[in-house]
Order: sequence, then C-alpha cells, then structure tokens
Amino acid sequence: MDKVKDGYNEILAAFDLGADSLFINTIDLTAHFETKGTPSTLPKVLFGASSDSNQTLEM
Amino acid sequence: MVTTLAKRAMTTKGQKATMVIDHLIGALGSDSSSSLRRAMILTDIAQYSGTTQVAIMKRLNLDKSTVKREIDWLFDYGCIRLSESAADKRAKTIEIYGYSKEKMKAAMAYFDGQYEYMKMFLDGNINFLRQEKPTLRDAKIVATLHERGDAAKAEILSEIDGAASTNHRSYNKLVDDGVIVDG
Repeated sequence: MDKVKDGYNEILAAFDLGADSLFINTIDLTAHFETKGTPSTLPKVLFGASSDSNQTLEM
Repeated sequence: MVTTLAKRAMTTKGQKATMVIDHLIGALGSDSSSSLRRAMILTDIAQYSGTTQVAIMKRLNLDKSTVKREIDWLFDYGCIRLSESAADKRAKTIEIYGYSKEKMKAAMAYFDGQYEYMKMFLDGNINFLRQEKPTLRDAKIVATLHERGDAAKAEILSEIDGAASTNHRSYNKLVDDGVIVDG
C-alpha cells in the first residue's frame, strides 16, 4: 500500500484560508446591518463602497 | 453563495483538491500533461484580465521565453483571447476566454473566488511534487492518494484519466522521487 509523504496537508490549507475569509466577510456584513442598517447605507456594503464615505445609491 | 457553502460542507479538502485539479485540466484543453506552471499562468490571466505578457513575467517571476511559449499554447488551445493594447501598440492585452473561463470559474468557487489562494495551492503543489516540470496529472495522482489515506497503485490509477502507460510512468516517478512512499 502506498501513501503520500508528510506535508501535503499544508497545501490543503489554501482551502481553509478561503473559508476564513468568507467567515470574516459575513461577520463584517452582519455587524453593519446591526449598527448602520439604514436604507441609504446598506447598498454601500453590498457594492463594496467605503463605509466612511457619504456616497449613497442615488444614480 | 449557497452553492459554495454546500460544496464546502459536503466535501473534504482532499476531494476539493481533486475537483479543482479536474477543473484546471478542463480549462487547459483537457490535457492533464499541462504543467502546474501553465495552470498558474492561466490563473494569473484570469485574475488580471486584460494583462500583458510583461506584467505576467513580472508577477510570476518567469522569463520571457517561458511566458511566450505558454501564451502561444494557451492561444492555440482557445484558452485566451488577445487584443491590441490601447496604451501600447506593441503590446497585446490578454484575457481568459470561452471554455477555459467557465472551467476556471468552477475551480475558483472552491477558493471563494480569491485567486491568491488558488496560486498558493498551485505553488504548494509545485514545491511538494519535486518534479522538474510537475503536471496536473502528478497533482491529481497525489491528491487522489492523499484522499484515500493509503491505497494500492492500481486503485489510484483507475481514477486517473488518460493513457495508462503515461499514468504508470508518472506514478513511478513520484515513487522514485519520494513523493509517494510505502505505507
């Protein structure tokens, strides 16, 4: 029987990092809904605009 | 988002690795002999749509002849599209195209669309495989075996597409180089 030499799990950590990043984004968005969730500011988050800008979704 | 989360929940990291490699093989003309470096270049082109050959050379620290050869291959296999650059008439802009674009998108779903993680995965494989020019076939063999824990050679090779003789040769080389060891 064969197996892969030790160390391959470190390569698979690339998948963990993606998941961590997604988790952080979800937390950020949730916090925004709770603290700044007005109709004019919500779209800023969804479209990636800076949270400290005065820009609204008027187009 | 739901699809991505479902994929994460239902698959192990080893399974994700084999699926990502399968998508990359699909993105590169279904040629499992494609090198991981070629996959890296296609990933870079997908990340920086409208990039140039010089920019790819700089970002990936590759020489001009290597990048030109790979760009020619990618163009011949319909993986990329070239356009005249508005900024520099001597340069051409490059973007991923057609079936390659779709397959790359499927592969990137496992990294939440974050190209740096795909590059880390490819770079990790290049360093781990110890081959002079590691291929997607090599990476698929190792990912499949890792997912099984331990297995017989025939069992692993039955899951690898392509010519049996080539697969046997690749497997034996990985054994000779100490990447695959006796369990």
